[in-house]
Amino acid sequence: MNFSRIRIQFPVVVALLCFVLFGVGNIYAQQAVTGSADGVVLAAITLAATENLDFGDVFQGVPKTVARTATGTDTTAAIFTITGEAEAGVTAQFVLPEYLSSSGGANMLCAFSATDMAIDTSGTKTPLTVVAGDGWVDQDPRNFPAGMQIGGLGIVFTSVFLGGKVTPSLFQPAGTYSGDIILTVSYNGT
Amino acid sequence: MNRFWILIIIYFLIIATTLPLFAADESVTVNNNLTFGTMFPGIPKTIDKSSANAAEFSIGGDAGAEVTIDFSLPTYLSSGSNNMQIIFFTDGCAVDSNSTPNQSSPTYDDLNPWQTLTYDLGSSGLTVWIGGKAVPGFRQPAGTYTADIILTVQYTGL
Repeated sequence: MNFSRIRIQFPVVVALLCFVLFGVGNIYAQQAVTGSADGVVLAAITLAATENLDFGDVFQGVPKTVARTATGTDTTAAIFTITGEAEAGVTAQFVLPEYLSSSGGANMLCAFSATDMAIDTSGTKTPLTVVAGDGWVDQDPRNFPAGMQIGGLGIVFTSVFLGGKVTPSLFQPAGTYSGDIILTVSYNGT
Repeated sequence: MNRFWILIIIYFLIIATTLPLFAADESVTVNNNLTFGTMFPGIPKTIDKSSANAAEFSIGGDAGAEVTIDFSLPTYLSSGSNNMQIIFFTDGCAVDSNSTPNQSSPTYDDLNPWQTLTYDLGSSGLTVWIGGKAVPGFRQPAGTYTADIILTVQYTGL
């Protein structure tokens, strides 16, 4: 073994190691940081048909109207409850039937006037007690008012009251008639 | 022995010539998180990269040094076991190298955060912004949703 040759190579090895360990290592050092994406999702809307629009007994050839204020035992206005984020703006739409149908296949005319709907955002009123200051009264159920919202400050639901009219014919077959009233509600982002 | 000293000198010359590249480590800090605020179920919400609610990062290091910037981006925000989709657009990132960063008119705009970005550090480093879009479902459960955005910075040696 040539001793002098070893003494020359040793610093070479040390120098290369130092360069690799300290020089190259520092050049390619990484820095990473973690931020975040955050959001708060508000309460989803839930709908309930709290009360059906009930016309009770109807006589052949005699039209019958149930007012949006009706709360009788046999004739009641429909009550829909919209629950969600307090004071959030919503878009709502009714799909209203033109006929009620019996299980036997007979139809009976059904209609809704431009004043058959009331909306209570106070969270306290019934069809009979709601007034304009509680929301909206005498509204067209085919066209919900602008500014429609869920409840008010700290109130997380709105009630929609709906009346209507049925017109049985003179020869309307006896039976129980029904039709779907569909309410669709979604947030509008306001 | 003369060769030994020659090698030592060569080594320090190499160190001296490369010293500016690693005189200071790069640094990266979070100035702002990407904040969507309150969201309604069923209504997507977009935070633009120029918004005050966009995420903002600062990168420090040696002025003039080139760095690579890589995002690790989430596809969902989570709240417990519930997830909500989040989208990062291919032009949803911006970088500014000026000492007074301008978020509304950055040096480099409409960048793709899904790709590696390579820029020189300015005199005050770099400022990076990223926006995104959260898409809550119609029946998205209420709650606070969050996810990590990881930014990794590395000198290229140039």
